[in-house]
Amino acid sequence: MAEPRPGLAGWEGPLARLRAALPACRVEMQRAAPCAAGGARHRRHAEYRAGRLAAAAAAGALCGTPCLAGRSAGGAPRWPAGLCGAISHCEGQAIALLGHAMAWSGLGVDIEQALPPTVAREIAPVALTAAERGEFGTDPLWVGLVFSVKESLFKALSPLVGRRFDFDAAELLPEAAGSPPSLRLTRDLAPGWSAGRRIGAMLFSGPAGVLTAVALPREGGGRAGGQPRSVAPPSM
Amino acid sequence: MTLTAHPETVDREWLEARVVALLEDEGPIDPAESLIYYGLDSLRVMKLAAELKTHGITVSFEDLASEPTLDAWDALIAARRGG
Repeated sequence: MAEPRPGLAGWEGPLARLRAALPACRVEMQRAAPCAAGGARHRRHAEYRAGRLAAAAAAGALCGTPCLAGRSAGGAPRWPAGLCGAISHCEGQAIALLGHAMAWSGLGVDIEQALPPTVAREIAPVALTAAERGEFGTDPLWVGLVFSVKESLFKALSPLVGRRFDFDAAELLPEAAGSPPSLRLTRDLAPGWSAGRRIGAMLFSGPAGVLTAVALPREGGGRAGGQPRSVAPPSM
Repeated sequence: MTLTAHPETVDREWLEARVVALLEDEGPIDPAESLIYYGLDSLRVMKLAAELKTHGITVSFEDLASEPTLDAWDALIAARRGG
């Protein structure tokens, strides 16, 4: 489970909660090698390598054989047959979420550092729909969660529906008592993925930032993986 | 970084300067190369989309993310500016 480890500073809580929510999957984090100099390109390359190492560790934990994910033309990871997953990087940290393809038709994960209030105000008009802005305003925590969970949705759903879509294609619903967080599609994306469809979402926050995930169980194949467990709203 | 109403003209020079600043890169940047290789990530794309919106140029995140090169973004902005 989620024993604290060096290099996870601030992520231990969200990581433990994601692992608890998706016990059939494996989630691993990897700290990127520090860069002595250089701009984002050097940091990003180190994060890319860390993401691949995290994925290899998650694959090893899941099926006993570490794997190195390939890379599609668009930059998304390409998984060996039988595996399904996603990788995310954020400011020196990488995370990989992997599951069995027989259980999941799509998995998405995303980490984002805590947004400064100025950045939250800047991106809210583009990252949030009007309804979301009405509900969440420009609160940095919620803007970060909405942005992040839509990244997770894109990673889980875009390969499945065979198309890209924008941040206004779904919106995070306000929490209702007793129900886990969910996204609602705002437009038709593909047969079976029509406007109004609700998709469960996992939202966690901690000192280092926010961690979100979207897990789409394979219809008719869920016995091996099961549904995500209901999760609590993010701790403030 | 704080974004406010900018008096500058949104042209190629402006775009290159903004991208270099967003990427914290020292340049030069190959205008036909994917900016992903220079460290572009989703949050930075979102920030640029938001900044363009403050200039009255509406491009979506996906408009930018689907072809993340300086050349493609320059053409996209020119088209959306009504040029």
